[in-house]
Order: sequence, then C-alpha cells, then structure tokens
Amino acid sequence: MSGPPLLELRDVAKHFGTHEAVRGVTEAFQAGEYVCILGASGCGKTTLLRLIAGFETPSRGDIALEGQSLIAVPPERRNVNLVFQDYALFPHLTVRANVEFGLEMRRVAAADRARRADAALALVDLPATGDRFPQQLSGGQRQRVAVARALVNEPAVLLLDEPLSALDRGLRQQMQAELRRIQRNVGITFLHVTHDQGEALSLADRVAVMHAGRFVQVGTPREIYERPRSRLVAEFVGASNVIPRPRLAPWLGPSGAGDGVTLVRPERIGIAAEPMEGRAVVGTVRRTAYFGATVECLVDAAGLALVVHVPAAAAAGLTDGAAVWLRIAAEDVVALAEDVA
Amino acid sequence: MRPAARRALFGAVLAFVYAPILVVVVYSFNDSRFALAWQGFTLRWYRSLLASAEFRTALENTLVISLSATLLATALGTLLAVGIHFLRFPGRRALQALLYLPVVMPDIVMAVGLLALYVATHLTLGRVSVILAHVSFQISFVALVVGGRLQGFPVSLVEAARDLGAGPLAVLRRIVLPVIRPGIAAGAVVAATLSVDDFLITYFTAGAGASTLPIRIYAMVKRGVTPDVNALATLLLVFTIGVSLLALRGVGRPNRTGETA
Amino acid sequence: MRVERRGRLVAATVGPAALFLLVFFLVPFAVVVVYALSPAAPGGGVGPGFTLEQLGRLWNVDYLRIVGRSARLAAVATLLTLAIAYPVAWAIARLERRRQLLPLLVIVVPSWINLLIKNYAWITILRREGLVNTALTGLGVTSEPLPLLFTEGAVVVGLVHSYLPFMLLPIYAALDRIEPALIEAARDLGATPGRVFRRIVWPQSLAGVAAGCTFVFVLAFGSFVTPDLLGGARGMMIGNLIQNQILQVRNWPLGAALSVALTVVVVAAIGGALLLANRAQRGRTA
Repeated sequence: MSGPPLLELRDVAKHFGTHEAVRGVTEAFQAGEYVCILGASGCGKTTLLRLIAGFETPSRGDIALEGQSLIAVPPERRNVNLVFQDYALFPHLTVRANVEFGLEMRRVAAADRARRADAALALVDLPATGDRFPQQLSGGQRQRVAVARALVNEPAVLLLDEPLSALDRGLRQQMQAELRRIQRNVGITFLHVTHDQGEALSLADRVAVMHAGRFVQVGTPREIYERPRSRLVAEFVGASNVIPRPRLAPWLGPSGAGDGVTLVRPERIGIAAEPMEGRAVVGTVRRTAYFGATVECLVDAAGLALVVHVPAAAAAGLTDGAAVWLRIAAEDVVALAEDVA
Repeated sequence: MRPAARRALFGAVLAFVYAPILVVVVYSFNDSRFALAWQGFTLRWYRSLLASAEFRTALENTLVISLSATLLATALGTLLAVGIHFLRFPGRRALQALLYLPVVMPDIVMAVGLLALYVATHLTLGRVSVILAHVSFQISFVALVVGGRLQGFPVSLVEAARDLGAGPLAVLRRIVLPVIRPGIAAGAVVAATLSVDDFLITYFTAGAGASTLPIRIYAMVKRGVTPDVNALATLLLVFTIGVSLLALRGVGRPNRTGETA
Repeated sequence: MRVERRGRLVAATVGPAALFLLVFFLVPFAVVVVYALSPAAPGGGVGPGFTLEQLGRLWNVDYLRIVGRSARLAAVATLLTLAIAYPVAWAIARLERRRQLLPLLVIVVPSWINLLIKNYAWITILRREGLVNTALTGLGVTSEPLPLLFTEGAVVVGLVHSYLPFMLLPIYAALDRIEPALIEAARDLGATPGRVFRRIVWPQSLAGVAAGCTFVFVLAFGSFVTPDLLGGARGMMIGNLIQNQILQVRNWPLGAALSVALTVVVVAAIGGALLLANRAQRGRTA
C-alpha cells in the first residue's frame, strides 16, 4: 500500500465491565478507500465504529487520524462523521436544517451553508426536499439525507453503521450502488459496518472480517471469498464445503491429499449426470433446491455430503436420487488455518 | 356489562361527582343571600367579589406566586430531568428516588417542615417564602413529566449532534429542548395548576401578607356559606378546568414534527 | 479531562435542582425530625437538648384516638372508593377504544377542581340548612334537621368524592392492558362470566387496585382540608392535630413528632404496596 495511512488503529481494545467488545484491532486505512467491516451481530464492529467516532473511549491502544491521536479529542471536534443505523435525523428540523447543522456548528456563513447543503443534497440525488421534515420522507430518502448531512462537512473519514439495514431488499441493492457512486464522487474514505456479506463483497475495496472483537482477515473481496484464511471466514462469507484434506483423496489422489482442513466452494465442483473424463467420483443426489439462476444440489459422494451449485441451464438430469459424477480440481482446494478462538 | 346497567352506573357516578359542584355553580347566580329557594338570576355576587380589595390582592398574589414558581420550577425540573436522563454520575439513582418523595409526602408534613425552616432562618413570610415552598414540590412533577417525555428520546440524536460538531450547550439548546418542548409545556401546566390550587403549604408559609385565592376561599368558608364563596369557587373552577383542557389539547395534538405526544 | 468535563455538565444540569431540593425539601424534613426529638420550650417553640418525651407523648389516649380515627376513616374511604371505581373502570375498559375518551375525561376533570371547592360543595348540601335537610323536613320525613355535617360520615363522603379519580385511573390502566382475547379464550374454554372475572380479570388488575388503594389511603390519611371543613371537632384527623399543635398551641416538638409519625405510616404504606407489586411482578415472570 502506498502513502502514509489516513486512519490508523493500533491495538485498539474496549471492554464493558468483563465483556470484551473489541480485543485489540490493528489496521491502517488509506485515503479514498471504501472499506467494509463485516461481522455477525455482537462481534464488536459497531463498538469499533463508535470508538473512532469518539462515543466510546478505548480501554487500550490508540486511534490516529492523519498522524494525530484522537483519544483525547471529543466527538464534536473529530474530523470524522457517522451515518447512524437509525439515521438519527433531527425530527424538529427540516431536511435542509439537518444538512446544514454541522456547518452551522462550525460557524460557516449562511450563504455558504446553503450552497454546500444544496450541493450535498444534489449529490445524494435528493434536490428539492429541503423544506420537508424527516417524517415526511421515505426510508430510502431519509437514508440519503443522513449521508448528505454527514458528507456536507467533508470529513476525512465517513463512518457508516449498518446504513442499509433498515431498508427493504430492493431499495438496499439500489442504495448499495448509490453509496459506491457517491464515494467515488467525493473520494472520501468510507468505513462501512455491515453484517451482510453480499453488501460487503459488492461495495468494498477491502473487506475486514471481524469476529469476537478481532479482525480475522482483511483483504480484497476476491481474496476474502476465494482465499479465506480460516474456516470461520470461509463459512461466514458465501456457501462452503469444509472438508478434511485426507477425504479428498478420491479426487486428488493420495499424493495430493495431506493434513489440515480445506475449503471447496460449491460452484467450483464439477457435476454431470453422465460419466466424465479424469478423476470423477460417482455420487447420489439427495436433494435439490431451485434458486432461479442456480440450482443447489446436496450430493452424497465418497462418504461426504457436498453442496454443489450448478447454473440452472446446466442442471438437466440432476433430480433427486439420480446418480451423478463429481469433479474437484486441485487449484480449487483452499487450505484453511485452524481458527484461533 | 349490559348497556342499561352501564348507563345506570355511569349516571349514578356522574351525579355523585358533579351534582355537588353544580349546586355550587348554580347558587353563585341566585339572587338571595340566605334562601335555598331560587330567587332569580343575578351577577351581583361576581360584581361584589371583583370589587373587593381582598379578592384582588389574592388574585394578584396567586398570579405572581404561581407564575414565578412555575418558571423557576420548570427551568430547574427540566434541567434535572435532562441531566438524569443523559448523564451517568454517582448518586443518580438516589436522586431519581428522591424525586418521588415530594409527590408522596403529605402536604401537612411539607408545610410544617418549610415553616420550621423559615422560622429557624428568620425568613420573612410572604410571597418569596411561598414561591420557594411551591417550587419545592413543583420540581418533582416537572422532572417526572419531562423525564417521561425523555423516555422516548433516542440517544442517537444527541450523538448525531455531537458528531456534527455540537458542544453540550448546543446539543441542549438546539436538539434536546426543542424535541421535548411538548413535555416541558405539559410539566409547566401541571406545576402551575398545583401552585394555583395549593392551600395547605401556602397557608403555613404565606404569613399575613400573601394570601392567595385558595386561602381566601378557606377564610370565607370558615365564616359561613355565602354566595360570594360560590362565585369565587366558580371562577377558580372555570379557570383551572379551562387551563387543563387547553393543556390537554395542546399536549395531545401532534406537534409540527408530525409525531404525537 | 473527559471526566472533569462531565462533572461540570452534571453540576450545570442536576446541580441547581438538587441543591434546591436539599435546602427546601430535605433540610426542612431533617428539621422536623430534630424538633421531634427536642423538648418543648415554655411559651412555645423548641428548647435545647435531646429527648424522646414527645415521641412518648404520642401514646396518649387522645392522640391515639385521633390517629386511630385517621386510619379508620382513610381505610373506609379507600374501600368505598374502590367499590365505586372498580365497576366504572371495568365498564369504561370494555367500551370500544374511541368511546373510552369521553368517560375518562369526565372522570379526570374533577381532579382539576380545587379540594376546598369540592368540600365546600358538601357543606352546602349537608349543613343544617342545606339541601338534604331542607328536602327531608320539607317532605316531612323528619321534623328536625339531621346532624349530617361535622360527622365522620361527612368526612368519608368528602374523601371519596375528592379522591375517586386517583383510584379509578390506575385500575382502568390495569384493566385496559388485559387482552380481550384472554377473556374470549376463557369463555371459549367454558368459564362462566363470574369465573372469568375471578380467574382472569381480577388477578391481572391487582397492580392497579394496589396502586389506587395506596394513593387514596395515603392522601386520605394525611388529609387536612376535608376533616377540617366537614369533620369539625368530631372528625378531627392527624393532619388537623398537627396544624393545631403547630399554629395554635405552638407546641412545635409535639407537632413535629406527629409529622414524623404520619410520614412513617405513609412511607410504610407505599413501601408495602411496592413490595407487594414487586412480588406479584416476580410471580408473573417466574
């Protein structure tokens, strides 16, 4: 990675009483990155965001923005802004007054405020809603206002706490594209917390998978999906077959097998209703489920229960109880490290 | 319950509750000082009441005392409720519990205590002593009403304001107070009606100079049943019911942010 | 630094009111307690020193009679209020929601009327020349006016009339929370209306009943105005005795001792109710 980091976390930890929410996170974030912090609820990701925003004080470690430690800086004086999960729009203020609030607190002149608020509302594709109150807007519109209200201050880092979780599925996908567009447009570093792996993979330049208060793997979406380092990451991101390596001998041969645990993604397993060339193993389809674009088959083969994803167009003959041939290539077998608790 | 039985029940209770009050109101218009029989409609009891110096003094005292006490108690009680809701500090739970004490403490005990304090500190009894006494029981009611309103106040609004650069004072002035304004208004109305209606604590702490309308009513009732009392009682009745109904409408009406209080 | 800042915020928000309550609520009560433990000075006021004499004097037969009457009248008023309020609250709670508002308002409005006025109204009705006696003698039911005013009965009527809303509202709130489906389910399972009430409605309304009874008992037990205006000498209650000792007899220590005794009873009543409510709550969640 190039250049000095914009935001640096050094061994940041936070415990509430005996509960350790964050257990020592060290990571650097570059200017202009879109990073998703991905984890199940309770993994400490929201606490981490609140530590950066300044609503919690770390029990240990340091947080530095542009080389300056933030620990002693109260939230109102940190050059980061947060998009709240429930948006936290001020109900007694109009959309415009909401967006201008941060500028007003920094004593920006009224004319300048109005100009910048207009620009921010245009950026999130919400012109001409300024005189309305938050309650008069739809969920998606409120979400956009919350983003505009934070971005208008031109923070060094924009923090987003599950910003899309309150939206329904269709709107969520539309807003994902919007967030990506906005981030490209303004070039501000986005730190986006989510429990939705699809959201993280499709949005982020880098994904940090968080578990039990730690970053267990940080990498590009492709790295995270295709080369997960541990069983935990593999099972959290995408569907997976986690198999002890010796059990793969029928496919890889005794020499290809060895120790440890491996991952084979369901779509990487070749499947056919007729015998295939090479090292194919015969199995029986136990159950199939139709998902539109793909068909998921549960196949018993070589003493394993394997999940296999097939494009729906290629799924002819894959019916319950049918005999099938499975193929697994050595390059699709990913070695997994044992998880550290 | 059958509709007929329900109507009979409501009717009986309604009569028990309202008939005596109605009698007071009706006889305030009866053109006879002593007779129970209806002697014709008159407003002369109201005229003589309004003309009496004692009534005017009592009215003035009541207005000055309840306005000052309510303003002070609303400010103190609102700040107290806000502090208890948003801040964590040692003694917070104890303070919360303390708030209920003036609500449940018998008036007579508070009256005796305040008088004892005033006598011990040689504070002259008058409007000031009554105002301080009223504030001492009003604070709790304001804080409890405002605190109830704060129950539904999302902490994220405060955090959002701070995140956007607002210091504690700006958060209070620009976010918290405007959002809970209906609660503050409701608390102030409750405090004001308590002050206007208070008899016993005022009776102990007013001394000779600061008699209020309830004290006036008490003195007149002690002297006997006369139409003047009916007239004064009717005026006070109309005033407190009117204010309370207005307040109820104000609180129940959706405020301009579209949420109902 | 952060802690110091928060300290200032606490001082700025909670400080003024806390200080006010300290000086004008806690200190006065402390003074009352101190006075209750002091000897009476000759000629009125408080003498120096510490004595349990005043607390001992509370066991005087005359005072005990007044305290006993206070408890008796408050208890009778509480039960009567409950007997009136419960069916009314039930009737209101069973109405459709939009039809509940008017009867509730009708019940609440009298609580805004000054106590003096409500009690005065009963004077005009119950006195020798009042409505009832005039009607009775006019109809020839009695030849002599009945002594209705300045009796314990008059006090009870005044208390019930004054404090009815304080009983009705908590009971209504409790009844209103009962799911109508529960009652329908009980009927569906074969319960008669009487058993539905005993097994479903009454147990779930107990918290409201306890709250209402506590309110009314505490208010009635510590009342001054109602026994003063409607009871006279024969209806004197503890509040009147305190007022008499402080303002007329000027025996501060005895008045203070009576005030402490009154507070103890009130706190005990509320504490007991809270304890019962807590136990009921725990019984339900366990």
